[in-house]
Amino acid sequence: MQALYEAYKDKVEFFFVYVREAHPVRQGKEGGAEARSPKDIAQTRSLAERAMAATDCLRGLKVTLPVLIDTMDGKTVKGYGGHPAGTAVIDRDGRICFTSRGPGGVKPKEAEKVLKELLANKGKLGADVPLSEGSPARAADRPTKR
Amino acid sequence: MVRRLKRREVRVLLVCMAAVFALLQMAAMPRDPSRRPGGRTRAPVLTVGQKAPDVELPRLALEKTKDGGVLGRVSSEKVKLSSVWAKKPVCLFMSSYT
Repeated sequence: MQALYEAYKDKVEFFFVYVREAHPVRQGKEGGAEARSPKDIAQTRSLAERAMAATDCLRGLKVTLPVLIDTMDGKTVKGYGGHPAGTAVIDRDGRICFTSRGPGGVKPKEAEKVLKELLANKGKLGADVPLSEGSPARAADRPTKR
Repeated sequence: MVRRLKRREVRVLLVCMAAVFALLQMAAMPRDPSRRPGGRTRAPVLTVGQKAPDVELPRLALEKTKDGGVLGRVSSEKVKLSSVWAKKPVCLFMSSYT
């Protein structure tokens, strides 16, 4: 992820969207988390808590991507299905070029292939792909590639 | 005796027919793909070429503390994805630390 960012940050806008915790630790009796390691994080209950967790994440993973915080009602998760993890590549017309989601949903290698194709085509999907607004059938619930 | 038995049979037959009718109706109902068992909603599946959902999210602002550490807070600046993808392609990685 960091390597991809370093390689394409001038041509592509990267964001790491910090979503709600996938495996939070249980809350203790006093409301604090029963933390056993720095990675033990309770489910965040406010944007400020989520920002603190995101900071720990950046420090732990040693990434420097610009970070956005998902809203408490999970607009990104609801829109893109990025929970517990996900990747989305969007072209300059606002069209989906690649998505993946689920455990292990962060797929920088697959995203790089799509980005190379996009950049070769002025940042846009080919004209042969029609713009659709509807929600597709359930059968397509797998990573999508061009 | 014969008459009572016939009534019971008719009643059983009617109940069976109602059950079969109800099952057929349930099978014919269109299923919502975004619905999970238990009533939880699944995010819609996105396909290539589909319009990407536009969301507006706050940035994480990082500040250096006096002791050399880094403190993260929610910035007042928000990023609207549609205003970003109008300039450059966008790559989103979504995850949490845990």
